[in-house]
Amino acid sequence: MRTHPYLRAYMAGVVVPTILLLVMVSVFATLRFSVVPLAPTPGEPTLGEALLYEAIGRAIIFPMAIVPNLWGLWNMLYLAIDGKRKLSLGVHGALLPILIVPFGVTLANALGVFRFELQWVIPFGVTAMVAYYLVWKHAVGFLNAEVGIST
Amino acid sequence: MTDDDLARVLRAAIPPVDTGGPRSDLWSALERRLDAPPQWAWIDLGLAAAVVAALVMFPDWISLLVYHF
Repeated sequence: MRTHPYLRAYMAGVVVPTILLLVMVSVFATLRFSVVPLAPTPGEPTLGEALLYEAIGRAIIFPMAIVPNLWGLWNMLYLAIDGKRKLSLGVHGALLPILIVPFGVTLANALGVFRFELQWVIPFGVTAMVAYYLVWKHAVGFLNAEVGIST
Repeated sequence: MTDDDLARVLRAAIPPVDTGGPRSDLWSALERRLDAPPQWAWIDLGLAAAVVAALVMFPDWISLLVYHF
């Protein structure tokens, strides 16, 4: 008999953003150390452009630490409200951007990573909700089934 | 008419109920259906297309969307 269902739910929840983080860090490292080195040579990108990537280095704490943990906790919450829930896993996941997007946009603006006008927060948030719906329904749903979490 | 005669007449008048049961094991079919991963419905494909269209219209959103995963 399987035990520790919340641990399994957490572990299933963190998989997708963790894998995507690996891809992001690989792209960042390639840009930072290979394509745009910090000490530019003549004809290469300027220091200001390189510093932009340094800002990304500072801001990567958000997708590295906060997003995967929130995904894991969100999946635990889905399990915790089992029996009382009326929402599917996809819809449950689609609600997460309501929490994440304002936080992420604020952090990205504060660290100067993205120039994002506040008027676009809601359209972008809706797009993120749709993307989250699909990922949660299919990817997290698959992982939950693999670890024995009912979806 | 005795009780036995009445029962015989009733049996003759009412066709027998088929109690053979289902031809296959319904529980295993239900279990397979419950265990099956969610399929891509047309609405999902439409939503995916909408996300792609939004990202084509606003390419700046791609990095920001990846930032939230």
